[in-house]
Amino acid sequence: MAREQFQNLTEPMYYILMSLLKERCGVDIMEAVDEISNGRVRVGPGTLYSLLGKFEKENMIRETAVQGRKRSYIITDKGNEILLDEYRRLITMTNDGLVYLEGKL
Amino acid sequence: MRIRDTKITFFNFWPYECVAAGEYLELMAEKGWLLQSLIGAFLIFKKIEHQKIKYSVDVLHKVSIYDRRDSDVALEYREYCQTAGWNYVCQKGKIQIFYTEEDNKTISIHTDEQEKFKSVFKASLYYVGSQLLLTLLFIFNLNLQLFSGATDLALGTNLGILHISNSRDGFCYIYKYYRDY
Repeated sequence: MAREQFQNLTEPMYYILMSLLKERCGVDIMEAVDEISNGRVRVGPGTLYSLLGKFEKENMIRETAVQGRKRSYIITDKGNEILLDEYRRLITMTNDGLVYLEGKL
Repeated sequence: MRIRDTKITFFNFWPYECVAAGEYLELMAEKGWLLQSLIGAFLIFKKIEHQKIKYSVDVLHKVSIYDRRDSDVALEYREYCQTAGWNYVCQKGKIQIFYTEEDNKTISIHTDEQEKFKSVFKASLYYVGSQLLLTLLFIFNLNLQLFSGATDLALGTNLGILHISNSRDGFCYIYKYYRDY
């Protein structure tokens, strides 16, 4: 079920999971996503909040520490696997594109 | 209603009208009124200089309408928004209102429209459902009074009597009533 829902990660999902390879506080993820994507992808606080809730429910990330209202998260093995799957899928897409699109640009 | 530097307006809105509410608040800010708080359907504004302010009337589905104000979930959510540059104003049930003066620099709260739609849809279900239930009850009541043929009910309410006095079969109703007793 979860697999189906997160089979293709959206851009914000991909970058949020990538930023959680290192333990981070929820609020810091916004900055991390901005940094990793060189300012190309920006995640709004509302979207981030709901996505973190979903990831946690599907055991893709887990809570590591709670300081007051600040919660820190880190990616789980399941989340890591889904992220790597997506990474491989994107590489396949790029390679397929190389064959057919190279020279046409 | 206006008292010195305070203005109170009546503006009721549901979660599915959050975009319209945001536009209304932006219009008020252009006229020089900044939203301060909200009591039921009454909005309380404070006088400011005319300026462009960006509002985000946001729906947080995770909060229950029966939760107290400023619940932990809401406070945590506000912290996220405040880090992104949004100032919190007030809340109404599941609705949270934020504003920012730096429209260009601040990222919008929802960058994924689909997620936003889901949240608004879920939050609206309760309100739409209760309205639908009330409408159905009203129709059921009308049906019972006007078309069920129960004479007691027909003579028991003002609506029933009005219906009898206006209908061709009115006399039949009264006849039936007397015949039954």
